[in-house]
Amino acid sequence: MTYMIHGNLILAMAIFTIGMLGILWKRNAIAIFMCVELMLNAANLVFVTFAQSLGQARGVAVFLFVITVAAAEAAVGLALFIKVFNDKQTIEADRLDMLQH
Amino acid sequence: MNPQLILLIPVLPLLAFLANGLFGRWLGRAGGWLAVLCMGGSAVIGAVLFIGALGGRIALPVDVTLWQWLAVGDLSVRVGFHVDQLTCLMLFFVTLVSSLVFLYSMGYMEGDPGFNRFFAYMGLFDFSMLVLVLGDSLPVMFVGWEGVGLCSYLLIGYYLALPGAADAGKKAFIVNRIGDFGFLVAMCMLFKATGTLHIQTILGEAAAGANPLLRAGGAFVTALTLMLFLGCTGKSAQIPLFVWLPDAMAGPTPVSALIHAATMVTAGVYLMVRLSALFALAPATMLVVAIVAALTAFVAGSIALTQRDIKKVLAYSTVSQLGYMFLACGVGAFVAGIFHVFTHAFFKGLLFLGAGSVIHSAHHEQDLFNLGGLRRAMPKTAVTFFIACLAIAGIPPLAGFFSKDEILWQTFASGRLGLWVLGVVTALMTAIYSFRAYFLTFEGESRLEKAHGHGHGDAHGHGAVHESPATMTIPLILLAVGAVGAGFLNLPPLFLGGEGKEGVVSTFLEPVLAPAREIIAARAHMAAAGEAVHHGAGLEVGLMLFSIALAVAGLLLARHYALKAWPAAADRAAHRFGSLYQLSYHRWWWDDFYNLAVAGGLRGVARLATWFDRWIIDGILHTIGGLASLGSRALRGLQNGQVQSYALGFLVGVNVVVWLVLWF
Amino acid sequence: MLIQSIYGIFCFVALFSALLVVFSPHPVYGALYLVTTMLSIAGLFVLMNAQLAAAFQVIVYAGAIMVLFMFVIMLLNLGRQDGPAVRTRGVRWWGLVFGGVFLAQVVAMVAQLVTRPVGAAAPSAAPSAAAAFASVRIHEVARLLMTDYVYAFEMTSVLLLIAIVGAVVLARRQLVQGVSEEDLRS
Repeated sequence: MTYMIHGNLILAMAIFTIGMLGILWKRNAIAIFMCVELMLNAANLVFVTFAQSLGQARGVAVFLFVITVAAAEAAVGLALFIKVFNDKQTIEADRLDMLQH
Repeated sequence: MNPQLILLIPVLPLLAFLANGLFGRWLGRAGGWLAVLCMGGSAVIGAVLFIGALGGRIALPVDVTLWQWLAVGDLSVRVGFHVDQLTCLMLFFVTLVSSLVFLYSMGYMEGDPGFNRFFAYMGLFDFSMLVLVLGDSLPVMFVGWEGVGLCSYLLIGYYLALPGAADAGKKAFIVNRIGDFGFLVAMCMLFKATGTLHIQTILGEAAAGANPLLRAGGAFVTALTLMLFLGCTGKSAQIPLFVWLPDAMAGPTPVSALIHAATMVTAGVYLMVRLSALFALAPATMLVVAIVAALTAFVAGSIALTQRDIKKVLAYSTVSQLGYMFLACGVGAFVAGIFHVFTHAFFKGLLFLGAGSVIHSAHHEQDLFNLGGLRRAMPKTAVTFFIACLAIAGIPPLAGFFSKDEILWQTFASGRLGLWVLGVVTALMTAIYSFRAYFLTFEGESRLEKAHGHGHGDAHGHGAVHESPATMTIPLILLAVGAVGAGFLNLPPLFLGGEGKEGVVSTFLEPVLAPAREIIAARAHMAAAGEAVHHGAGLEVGLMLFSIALAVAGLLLARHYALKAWPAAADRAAHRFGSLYQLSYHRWWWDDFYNLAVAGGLRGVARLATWFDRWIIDGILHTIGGLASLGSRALRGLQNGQVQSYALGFLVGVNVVVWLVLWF
Repeated sequence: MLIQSIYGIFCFVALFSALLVVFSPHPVYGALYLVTTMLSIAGLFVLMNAQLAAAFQVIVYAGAIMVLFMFVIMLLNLGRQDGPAVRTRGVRWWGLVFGGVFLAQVVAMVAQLVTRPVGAAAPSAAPSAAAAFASVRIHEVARLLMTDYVYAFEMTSVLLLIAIVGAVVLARRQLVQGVSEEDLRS
């Protein structure tokens, strides 16, 4: 089963990097948000992999927390997007530079 | 008497200041009465202190140390009060005259929109003056010194809407600053010489004569005392810094009374007497002081002869009288100087308050040529004003006679006959200008109607000129009593039955002034080697009669020109002495000279400084600023508001952290 | 062999659809590919004997969260990205460079971990790595949540509550188009 552990770690790294680059690459804020979810998933994969390989329930518990936080984040973030879209008629990240002010 | 009570003397006016300054809006007229009560309380304590000290029931000196103020390196300054005989005398008349002026202001300032502001400033003014008098070290004195300057600025510019008032306030402030510079330099020099700023310690070192820098007649001590005298010329309006004082008339009249009679201008004389032991070490400075003072007295007296504004006459009179005080100090007669300060406070305060009373009821008419005949309408003011004129002119047995004659006699006795002549001529002029003011204001025909056109008063509902309210006449009467009686406090030995007997004040101040007197006596002894000039009593009596005759002559001259043959004789005289008249009327062109030389020169310097500032200083600053601007322009790209740019920064940071964690 | 083939398929699908999340031009497709990735990862969980995690992954992630995403995308009716990009392109390329550096670093780290001799490795990693995956029992996870992680657990519930309230407040007016705020209040 060692191959599965190594494979999972490498897969998680790959997905994590893909998500990271997606954040920098995409312009649609929702797409960026989905890339964040990809990164979270990669992290989850590592947590669960180690939890299973070590027989540790803690990893699974952390996984549950990550999922909860992701859910909360998605709820608030998407509500924000709706708000921003109504104000600016766009949610493209490069057109929003309100953080400058 | 508990020495802690002394603290109340300055604290009470401060209280008046705080109450009126902070809560004046709600206090209203009660604030004024509160200020009067506070000042009155100070005066009572001051009087109790003075009388107790005179009677020997209070042991002097008393030192009250309050708190450590500064401790920088070798310099240690404690805030403390030193009360000796000189302080007692000053406290006595400062608080007394001030409280009378406060009471007077209740009537004079009634209905003024800035009523409480006025009393707040007055309270602060008196607080500063009392700190000046009480301070036991030069920095503490300097606080009071500066506070007085500030308050004079505030009070002279009190009528904010009056165009000249603000300028006059500024002028007083700026001219005083020049004097303050001298004071500051002198303070630094004293610190260098003695390592302390505590006055009694300094005086002790000066008297002991062990300090090499404070050697008698040395260059250092001469420069030091000259610097101190520069400070005095600023505060006490001597040549060349007297120009601010006549302009200070722009303030309300009670302010003029306070500044010129009791408080600010006496500060310079006080400082000189307080540090008399230092001045005594520098005969050159003493000579400078005497010459400057005699010239000031003469010049100011001559200007006062022809001024038309009643307050201007009194202002130049003050400058002239201050000249007398410094003349006394300059010839080593410190007692005579401070005694003239004392008597002058009464009769000059009285003159100003009387003038204020006239101005108040004559609808703010200050031109002597437009007044006249007011004695019938306001008898109390007229009588008290006349008493003050008698006093200032030196008619015995009023206060001015004893103090001024003592100064003239001491000047004569010192052997400087030139100065004595100047003093005597000034005495004659003093009598002329003061009685001229009196006759033009109170006697003869009233010229008010003519000046203002008929029915002016009725049209405005003011009615005829009338006597001032009791709040104003009571201080007049009390001050008149002082002007009559103050002189008896220091009768010359002649009146007391010959040599060896001294007047009350002379005896009283002896412990304070002994060091200076001993230093001067020691020098005289060395120089003259026994050849003491001894003037007989007959000479003194003769001179006394001579000055009385001068005063009477002045009275008669003034009566002739200002009353009997007015205005024809005055016009003729002005015509005949055309150039002299112009010189006097235009105040010797002092102000114009300053405008031309000082202000013009300063303008040139300022232009140079502007050029330097614009091209050198600004150039350096603009270079630095430009660099910062360039840097920020480069950094500005980082803050573009793009979330993804920020995320990139985040990524770079993560890389660095991972790199650090992995390989270190 | 069968397990290994299934594992390979899941890995490939997960990686490929993750790439498609980034490269799909329309957000709806992106969201669907994201669901695919999540389901594949759930399959990996099952292969690791982690049924609980797999169930949560499917129900909460693929089910709830992604439905929310789809809902918002549909609501805003976002089409393809159009119009010229405003920001400088530099961010993308610099991102690629630093992303590559990051990947290289992490790969190096994992390689270090993998190639390390078994005996010298950290004691916790070695023994069970060779063994079959143990099944983490559900009641043990539950016990942990109620004991060691009880504070975090409670705080998470508060967090969720705040998120719900926040989301409602933020999006309220816009969700009911054409109805003014006054109407809502009355």
